[in-house]
Amino acid sequence: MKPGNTWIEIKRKRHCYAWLSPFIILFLWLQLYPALYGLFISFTDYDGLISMSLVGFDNYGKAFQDPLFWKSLGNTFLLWLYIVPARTFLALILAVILNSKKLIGTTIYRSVILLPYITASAIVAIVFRILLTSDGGLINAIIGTRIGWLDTPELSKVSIAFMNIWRMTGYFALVLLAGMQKIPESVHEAAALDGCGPIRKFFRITIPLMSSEIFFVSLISTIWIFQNVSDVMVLTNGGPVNSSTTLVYYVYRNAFEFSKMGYSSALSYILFAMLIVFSFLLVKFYYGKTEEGK
Amino acid sequence: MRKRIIAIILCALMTVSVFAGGNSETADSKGKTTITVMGGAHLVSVAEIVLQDYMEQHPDIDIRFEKYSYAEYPTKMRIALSQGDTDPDIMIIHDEFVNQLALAGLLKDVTDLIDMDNTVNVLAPATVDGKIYGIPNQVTNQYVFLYRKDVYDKLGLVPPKTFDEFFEQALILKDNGYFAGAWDPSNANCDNMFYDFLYMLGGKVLNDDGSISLDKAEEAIELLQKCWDAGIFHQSIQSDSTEYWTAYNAGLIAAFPGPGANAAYYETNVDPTGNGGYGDIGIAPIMKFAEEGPATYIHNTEYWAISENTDEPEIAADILKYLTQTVEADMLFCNVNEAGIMAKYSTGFIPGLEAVASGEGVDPWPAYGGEKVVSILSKDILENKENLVLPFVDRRSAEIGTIISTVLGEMFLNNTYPDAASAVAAMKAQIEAI
Repeated sequence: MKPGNTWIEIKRKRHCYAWLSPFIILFLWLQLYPALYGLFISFTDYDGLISMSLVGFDNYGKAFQDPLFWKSLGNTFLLWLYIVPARTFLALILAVILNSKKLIGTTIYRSVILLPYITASAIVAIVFRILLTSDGGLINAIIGTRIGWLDTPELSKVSIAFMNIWRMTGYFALVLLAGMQKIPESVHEAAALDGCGPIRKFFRITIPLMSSEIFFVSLISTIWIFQNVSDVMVLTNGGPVNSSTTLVYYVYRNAFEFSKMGYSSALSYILFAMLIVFSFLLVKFYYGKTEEGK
Repeated sequence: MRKRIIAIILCALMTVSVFAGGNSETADSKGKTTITVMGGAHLVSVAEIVLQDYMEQHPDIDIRFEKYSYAEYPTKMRIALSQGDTDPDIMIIHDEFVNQLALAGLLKDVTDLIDMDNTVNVLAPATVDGKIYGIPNQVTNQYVFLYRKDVYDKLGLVPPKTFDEFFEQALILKDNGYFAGAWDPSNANCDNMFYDFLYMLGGKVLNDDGSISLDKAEEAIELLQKCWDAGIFHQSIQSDSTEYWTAYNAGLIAAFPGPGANAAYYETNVDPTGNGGYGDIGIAPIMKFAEEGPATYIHNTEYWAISENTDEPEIAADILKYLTQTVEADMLFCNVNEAGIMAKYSTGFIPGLEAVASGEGVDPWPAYGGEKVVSILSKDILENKENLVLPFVDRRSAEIGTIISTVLGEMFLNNTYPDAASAVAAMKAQIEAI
């Protein structure tokens, strides 16, 4: 297209750009500018107030020598490992149940399973604190023994994973349910005619045809787990002995509790780079599989 | 064409709405001058109650109160001040942040507002280059000995005078099914008891010039170890956790030395129908930990400060003076108990402390059998006012606390450090790396 034509095209569609302008302004102002400014800050020793001198790559170098950075990174990966497979599996089970023709009142169930997701995470965390407190907690009272759900390094991450799975599974179940419902009934009927039982149909037809939704759930789950700060903050405060401190919570603490904006920004960009690599690997794995399928 | 015009108008409205909610005006439409007070939700709510009379006497001033959680308010404050916002005008700031904001030039010099002869000397964290940038809010936060009088009477015990006496009592209490305090090395706040022991031994974390001291840290850890090994502590965070109050109201804890500010927690958290000895709680001076150690120390305090950006410095100064330099405000601070807000303390104004110490007009504390606890605390501060110890803190203190808690947790839970000396060496190395 010639430059003159482009200008005419823009002029002709100016009302479209006008419609888009609130988003573009907000995006530039609230997303792109802070992100670029954050990148700049990561090369400084900014304390959130006045001190800001350039320190080059010092903050990045410091991060790789910081034992708490590695510990929080390890904790984040462990949480991912605890949460994503279990949550995806449970969401799939819930989706199958909700998709069942024998189930009466599916609309009510669909609303009910979304309730944990729409409840504020701080409130959920308070409820889970009441449930999981070692002395006087409801779960320990029921099982009749003192288990340190929140105050032992071995169980703190399990407790966070438990709460996160409970809170988010309903949402992902609905995403998977949407994918399940788009599979044509005729495919199932043809399989049934060929003598395929329900379990075989599920593994050989339903799951392969839902691979894009399962991929979406895994990818979004991964990103959300790496971004989640509220669960850890309200439930365990990263303890005991930093056993549940995740990378993003460590970023938060450095920025807002320790007044180390520069270091915190560097940690954020390391996290950003890791998420890109992680997402890229997931995408490559998914498309590699689908290409093979073809 | 009409559709396009409507679309453009709508777009313009949406775009304008993005910029809505700009800067607030100081004087509102009724001609009132607006002053904003910002800080942690609890203390700002207390100020709101205390300032009721002031607002009635000054109908031309509209005081607005911005309340945030304690984790959130320093960030909100830093952002507002560093961006040059005219709000807030007045702030209540914890000691570790006042120094940072003053160094950044974001607070007004309030030296002239302070009656130095009549204010207790806890001004070090708010002093930069000889100028004072904050006036103390709550000074009745010294380390005191709180205990169950009914249990002590039953076992023939009296409040201890030395740490050794306390330890012997703790063993007796343990034999009778009681704990003598609570401490949990797995908790992120486990550094608090370490500070109590350290400062009472005469040590420091930071020197007054900000250099790292950790003098007496080894002895403090050894004392903690001795208590932990003897099993005298309930495993929870004293006065600050569900576990603690569950154990307390079950009647398991009979001695609970702690900061004076925590005394008020027993008024609201002890179940009158439970087994926590409601009405039988006693308060006494804290035991001496070491010959060279202080009689007590002030755990921490907060400061009232004025923003450098305020449009109304005179009015802000007047409000600050009222809050911190009048007997009238002190008599209100010591009795706050309404609308779910409970905080009974004295500021650092000596005539106010004297008025509260006299007990006249001070409400009795039912959990303490009608004792006027804030009067006892005020009297104690006045008796020790020449030698008050207030730890030096600055912007590193939050991270230092995290380091100390982590090292203690690793030592007591994971045996990472074989002795106190290696734990202190690890603390020092990590603090130096901040």
